[in-house]
Amino acid sequence: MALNEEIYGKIQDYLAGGLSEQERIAFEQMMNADEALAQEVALHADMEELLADSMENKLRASLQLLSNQVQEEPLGSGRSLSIKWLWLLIPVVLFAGWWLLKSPLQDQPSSGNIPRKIIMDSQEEARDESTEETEIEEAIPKTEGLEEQQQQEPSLPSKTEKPSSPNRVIAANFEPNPSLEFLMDNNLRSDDYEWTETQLQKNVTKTASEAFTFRFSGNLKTTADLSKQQFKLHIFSNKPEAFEEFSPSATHDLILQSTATDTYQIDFQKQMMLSPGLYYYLIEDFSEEQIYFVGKFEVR
Amino acid sequence: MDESTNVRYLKGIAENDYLVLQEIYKESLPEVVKYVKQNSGTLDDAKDVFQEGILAIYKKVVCNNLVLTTPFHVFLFIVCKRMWLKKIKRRSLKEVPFEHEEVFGFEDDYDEAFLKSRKWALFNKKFKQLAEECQKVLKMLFDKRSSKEIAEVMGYSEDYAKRKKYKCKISLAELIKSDPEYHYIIES
Repeated sequence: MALNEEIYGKIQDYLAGGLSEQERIAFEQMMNADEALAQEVALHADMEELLADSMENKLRASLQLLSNQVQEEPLGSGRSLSIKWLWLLIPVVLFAGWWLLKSPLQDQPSSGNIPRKIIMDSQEEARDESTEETEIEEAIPKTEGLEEQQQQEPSLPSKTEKPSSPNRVIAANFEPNPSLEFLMDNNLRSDDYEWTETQLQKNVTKTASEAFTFRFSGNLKTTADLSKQQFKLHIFSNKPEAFEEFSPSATHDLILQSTATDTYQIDFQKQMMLSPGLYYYLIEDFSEEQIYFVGKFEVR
Repeated sequence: MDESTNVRYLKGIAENDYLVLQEIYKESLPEVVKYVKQNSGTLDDAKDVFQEGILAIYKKVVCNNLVLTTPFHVFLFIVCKRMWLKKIKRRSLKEVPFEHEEVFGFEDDYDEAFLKSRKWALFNKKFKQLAEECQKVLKMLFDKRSSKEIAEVMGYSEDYAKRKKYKCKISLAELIKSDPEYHYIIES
């Protein structure tokens, strides 16, 4: 059915309750006689309901996101399996215990081929890594605002682990953080602001010792008076606990410049050094604790 | 599970608290998946039923119409189970005995709820296919912003904002109607 502007206007008015009693009855009679029109009205009513910024639709979005994360092995289903497999593990544990008692610890190979060693190595490596990164940072000419990320960053793989391990560790550093992904896909506040002409930080490919320039710029259009508000940019690693505990890897003050009525410009650039992984950045009105923007980028 | 956990879960659903929802999925979904799979369903069926179960609870909570007398996860499981049994019944047109015949006040049309969720997913998919400008205009339109407000935000004249609203909404309607999934939904 070709919908001209006049009929469209009628549908809008009908759905908004803007028709007079007489017009409404006439329109309903038209719908009774014309199935295509009735279907069109139903579609428009559904669009208005299902695409509105309602709490129910936001809940649907969260549930959809959570459902999408559930693969064939549902969340938490490993509990009964692990008990079943425990019986099979008993002989292995007994053998390992006997073997450890039999051989003095100092005679163990240092290649880290048994799981216990891998765990210990990865802890030690994490410490070594942070030392190594500090050294790298010192070797690079210091630029204002160069970041120190050792504590919060995803750790680099251990050099002494089996060949498959580094890939696994790196892959973990790139796993999306569901909470932040959700924030990225949803309206963060009631619609009293708008971003335009944004230039977002792109993915970065660099060597481990290189710094890169993080950049975010854009115009924030809002009727709210932000001139006295304090804005901050937070950078989070992908680790769920980093965001849950709100412990960003780095936080910087942002300067908002009023460029026109109700428009503020942000142009933020900073040199950073981050190890490979997925990172998220949040722009927050620090005074009101309101988030205005969530973006992400990868360091490879 | 104590009463405070029930209250926390219901509040989390009402407020769309992602971390609470995550906890509910972890706590209750495996049991629903197991049940649905044991009763001729798939993982996707179980996920659909689970989503609808939470949405049904949400509707009751926002109407202040729900008092839990059982632990939340038991209640959610029973709601999902009833939904799934009704779905099977409709599919096979056979009588399926309900083990739990207590009245929960969840007598809404489940089929309607399932179809609504499918429409929601389809509409959102199609919405994302629109040009960014149209998405912005429609977002404001669906949030009941006036043509004058849209004109101000977008830098249009008011007349152009009205025309743009019309064009964008028609484009979205056409995108939805051109998808066979939509016809399948409305004919179900």
